Amino acid sequence: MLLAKDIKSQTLIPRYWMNRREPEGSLSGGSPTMKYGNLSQYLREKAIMTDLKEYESDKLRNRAFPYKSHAIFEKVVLRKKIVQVTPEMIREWGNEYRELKNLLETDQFIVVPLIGRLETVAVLIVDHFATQRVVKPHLIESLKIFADNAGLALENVLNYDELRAKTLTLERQTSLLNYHREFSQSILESLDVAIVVLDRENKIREWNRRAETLFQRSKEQVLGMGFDMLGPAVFDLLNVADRVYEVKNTILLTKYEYSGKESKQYLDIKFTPLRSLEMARIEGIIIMFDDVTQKKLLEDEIRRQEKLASLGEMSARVAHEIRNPLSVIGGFANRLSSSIETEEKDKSMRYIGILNTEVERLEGIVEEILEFSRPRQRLEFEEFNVIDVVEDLRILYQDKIEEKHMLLEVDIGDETLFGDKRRIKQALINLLQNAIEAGETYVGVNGYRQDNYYFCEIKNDGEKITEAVAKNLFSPFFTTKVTGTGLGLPITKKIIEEEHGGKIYVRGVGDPKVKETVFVVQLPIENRPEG
Amino acid sequence: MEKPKILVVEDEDNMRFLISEELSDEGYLVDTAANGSECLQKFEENPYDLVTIDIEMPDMSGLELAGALRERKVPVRIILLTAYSHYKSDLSSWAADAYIVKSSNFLELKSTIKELLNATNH
Repeated sequence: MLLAKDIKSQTLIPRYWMNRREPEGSLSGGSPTMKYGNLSQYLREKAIMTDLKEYESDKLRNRAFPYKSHAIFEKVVLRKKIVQVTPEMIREWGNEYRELKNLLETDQFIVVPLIGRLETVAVLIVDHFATQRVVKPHLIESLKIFADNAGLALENVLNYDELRAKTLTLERQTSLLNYHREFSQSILESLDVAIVVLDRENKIREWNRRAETLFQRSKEQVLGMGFDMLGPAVFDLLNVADRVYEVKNTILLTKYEYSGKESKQYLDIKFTPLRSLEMARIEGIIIMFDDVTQKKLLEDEIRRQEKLASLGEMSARVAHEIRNPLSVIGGFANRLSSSIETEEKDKSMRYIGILNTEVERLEGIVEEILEFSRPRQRLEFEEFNVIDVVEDLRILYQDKIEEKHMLLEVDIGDETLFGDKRRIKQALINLLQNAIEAGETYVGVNGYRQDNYYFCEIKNDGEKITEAVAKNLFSPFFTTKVTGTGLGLPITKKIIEEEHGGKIYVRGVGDPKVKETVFVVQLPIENRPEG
Repeated sequence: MEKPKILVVEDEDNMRFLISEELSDEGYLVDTAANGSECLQKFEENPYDLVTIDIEMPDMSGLELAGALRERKVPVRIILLTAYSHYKSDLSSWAADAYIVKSSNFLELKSTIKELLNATNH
């Protein structure tokens, strides 16, 4: 009987039993061996022809013998000893011995370990049932030699099976891995976006086809090299990459101007941290470059067209604005020549006064137009405190406010802004002036910081702005006032938005529930002028 | 013969003064209004033979005012004054009897007024 060893359950499981009931089962019969001159040849042929199912007996089903602490099996399996069991032993030591006797239907048998290189691989129980001969010592010796060899052979087979199974798994995993790698590679290569992956030392680990085109360097040239090898053009980018490690999050640069080997390009550049699987450490940076040059050029063109269109519109308005004062000047100059002739002094003086006023008005208009159409002037950015500016304003408008018997409420925090103080003051003057003119009893100036912006609100309780008017609030030359060029708000908008990168908008339009008209100026706190 | 009465509606002070001086020279009785509502109010109190209206005014524009006068069936000649030359060709004249482009030369305005007033009289 052959019993297999199950390490996990630490049991011996009977597998095959060459039952002596069948004449084929015995090997000692003369005739089979006589037919073959060679035992090994016999065994080989027998092995090929044997159907193992014949040796699986019902009696063996679901039997398992724990070998640890088993009187016989422990000795055999763990101490690798051959145990010869005799009827006397069975009588004397009972239990486990009797159990085996009942199983094997004999009271004389030898339990032999089949030993591999280091351990018992299986257990063989043999007997002389067929011949009923007594077991002689030299038989034990032969058995031992046979058992050792069988053990090694069995171990080899088992190892081979295990190896084959592991190889199959490995192969399957490798092909899956390859599939995924190829798939992601083809995605990387097909992308319209250039992808560069840097490790913690800013060396290039990934470089897709689009990156080759963008930077005019092949993958072979750059892989493993530092990103700075691309020259000073990327030094800024390396700084941003370093920032990613600090903020531990994605950083996006929009419309970044990149001067490559060819022409100027505009790129949206996204820096994403590459994390290890446990998501703990940042292993590198993934940089994606999206070419938005076309988009930007298109946007620029649209803006240019819009500017031209509004320029035409503006020209008409400018002409109109100038025409009135000119008509007045011309008209009174005519009348002046007559009144001087007729020596009407008072009249003449009055006319001269009007001429002066209108000329001043014209000068003001010209100044405002120039101011508005001037290209980005040389701004002087400095740190200044908001409180200083608002205090100056308060002094400037004190009289006017008292005149109208209004209340000026100021509530601004102590905040240091970075910008052109003169221009910001100008913007606020425009807003405050409007508020005072429009307001009935009260004008409020409110300042506070939120996220990365400083908000300054200027409100008044005067007549609300209608939606129709609101649409044109920031349009040049639009005004609801009798005098005024209508350039105040457009200039303010230019100062806040173009010169300082902020926003300006109005709240309280068309909403009957809101009692006040509020102009909101939003200035970024970290502001640096663009060169 | 009674002097014709003219109302000058113009929001800019100096321009208003200029027009009224020029028209007074011509011998008309000139009254002024600075905006649409003032104009309508004056018409409640007095009749006028002719009114000059500046088109570009805040609050109520000259066109709106002319329309309002017509709707009230006010018997008066209306001249619209504008700084924009394109109005002459763009707009139909259902409300106004004439459009004049503003200039320092008042000849056109004066002759148009004379024409319109003579037309009324005959």
